[in-house]
Amino acid sequence: MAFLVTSGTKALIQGMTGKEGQRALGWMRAAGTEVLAGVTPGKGGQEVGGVPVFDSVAEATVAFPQINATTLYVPPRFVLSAFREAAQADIPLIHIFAENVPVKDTAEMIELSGQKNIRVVGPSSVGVFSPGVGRLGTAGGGDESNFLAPSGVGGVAIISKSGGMIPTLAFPLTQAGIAQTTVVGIGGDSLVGSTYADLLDLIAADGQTKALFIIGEIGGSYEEQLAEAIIQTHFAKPVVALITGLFAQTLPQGSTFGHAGAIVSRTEGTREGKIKALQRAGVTILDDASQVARVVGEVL
Amino acid sequence: MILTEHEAKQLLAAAQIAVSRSVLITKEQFEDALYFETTSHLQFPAFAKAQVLHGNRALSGLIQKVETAQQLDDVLTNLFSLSDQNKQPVTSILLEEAIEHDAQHYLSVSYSTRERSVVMQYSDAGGVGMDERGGEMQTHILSILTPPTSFPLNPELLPLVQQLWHVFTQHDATLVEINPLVQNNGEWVCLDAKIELDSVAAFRHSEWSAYPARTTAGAPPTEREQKAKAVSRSDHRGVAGESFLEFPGGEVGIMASGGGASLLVMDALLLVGIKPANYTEYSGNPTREKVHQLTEVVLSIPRLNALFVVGSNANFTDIYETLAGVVDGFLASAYASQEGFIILIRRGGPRWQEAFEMVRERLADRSVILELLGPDAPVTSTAGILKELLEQQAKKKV
Repeated sequence: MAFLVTSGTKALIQGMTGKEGQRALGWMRAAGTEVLAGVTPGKGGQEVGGVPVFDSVAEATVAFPQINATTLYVPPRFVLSAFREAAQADIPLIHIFAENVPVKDTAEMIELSGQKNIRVVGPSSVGVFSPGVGRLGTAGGGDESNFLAPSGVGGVAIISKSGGMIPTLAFPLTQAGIAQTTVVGIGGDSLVGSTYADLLDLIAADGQTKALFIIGEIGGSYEEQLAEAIIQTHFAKPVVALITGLFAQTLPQGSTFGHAGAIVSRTEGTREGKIKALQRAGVTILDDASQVARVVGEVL
Repeated sequence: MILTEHEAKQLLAAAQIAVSRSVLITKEQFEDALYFETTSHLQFPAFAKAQVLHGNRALSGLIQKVETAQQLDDVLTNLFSLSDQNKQPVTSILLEEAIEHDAQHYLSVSYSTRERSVVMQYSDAGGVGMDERGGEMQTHILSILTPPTSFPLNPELLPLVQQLWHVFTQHDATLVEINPLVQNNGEWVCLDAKIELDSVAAFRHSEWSAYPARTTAGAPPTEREQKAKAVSRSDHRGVAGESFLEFPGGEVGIMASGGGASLLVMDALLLVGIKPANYTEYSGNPTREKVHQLTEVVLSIPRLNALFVVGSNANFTDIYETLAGVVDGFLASAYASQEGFIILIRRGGPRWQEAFEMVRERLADRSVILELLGPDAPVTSTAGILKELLEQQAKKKV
């Protein structure tokens, strides 16, 4: 088992003719996901790696009505229009790779997704990777030796704002023999389609996922909301969290760091506040990232 | 991008939101005594307000009341001699007629990460010190797709709420705040305003190029910050220098990689007591040229003893291309001929082994201390390794 990306995922890639889109195609197929079609306006009729390209999502979904997930590899200024096309075609899972998407566009996508019951991952997300099952986007990278597919004993799910931290911290888990069921890069923007808390029900329901490891950072309220959701839903699986941003707290208010959502604020989203909230919900806090395998191993 | 009060009020006035009558006086106009004519139509008392990019101006003495026209010169002289909390001198002052009013209200529109939507916040107890009284604020969730049709927190304010919603959405703002908001002769008037714009939406706002450059924290950017941002925006592939902060007196140049890993790296340096000279980050598979240019910006910082290139195990960033850019930038810098300069690289991801071979080969004839750490080295351990190398080099110098 896995969540979000399963053996039943039938994918579309919007922006497939671009360099990053072609990379996503190769890696998604290598991970076991069937990519049925691509979309690039003006390039309909072409093929990339034997996969047909259409001018619009509507045309692609008419040709392949079984498409149930799409990944957007388009520049930030075209994300909203690409999303609207996918939403119009009622694709239930939409992943957005691009960084630097205006907050207004993200807010609009979140509101539309609520109206149409669509699950959105991103923007600014590397995607979803279920080792041994499949991939949406480029999560996990091209080197799958960082990851270990679960066998009979199951494994841990990883949800991270940062895409790069996923293979970095999956690697020591893999070395310690701890498998990963599904890893998700939710993105580091201030507004994202899926938060940690949004994915909690999927993790609770997934029999193979025995524990959750989250990688969080300063800014926003998603870690605090996860803590609230753990308590409210009586989430029973162990949770380990790494929260970065100690240094950032020493700098002037308003300073930003790489991720748009990682903003120094004195009033909310502090590292200390997040750690306290998570500890109240029974989450184990990882003080030193190099200890991830030991700590996750202990809670499993 | 944070706007000054004057810039914010220009946007509000254009949307037919009432603001006080005012005149902007620059330091040049003041020094040339050119302001007399422009202020002659204003009535006193008035407020002289330094146009700096942070809050709590009243408490910092950056807003002063001018009772009569005769006092104006003294007040302006005093205000232009002051600096803001970023130690930037006051360069313009908004002189604004005082408006009689009773209660002061607070009204703002912004995005809430909790609601993941647009929210209007309101309080009937606005004015100075709202941060401390934040608990009194009431929140009303709005749609981003359709203008508000009701405002239960104070129905009388609905027309203003609708105007603010339009300002917020049309200008790609992330915050539009009016505080205080007062009533004068039955009309709602904005006495002070703060607007923040979403910098990444600049592609659809050519008019923003008229605003002078500034950092997200409100201070004018340093030359290196400006250069780094220009590098990052030179094409749409990846980021390289979008965030750049300088810390005077630091001895280590930072080239972190990955938004999340960069925070972890900085935390690790802090914990071992190393003082970085900067923070910057590249990720998302930027080109070799962008990384080269960013490296040059970092290595233009004087008196460095080390370059710290540490990042996560990349998903898709080409480690060969990006490290080639780092080496290009290093070889073009003055540090290329500095004996015992430390370069510590910790990377994993596409083509990392090939990249390490290339780095070793290209730096073989240089007298640098080169430490290359692959994906199995924990990111956090790199700070301790760097500390040891710095200490060893310091001993050699003694």
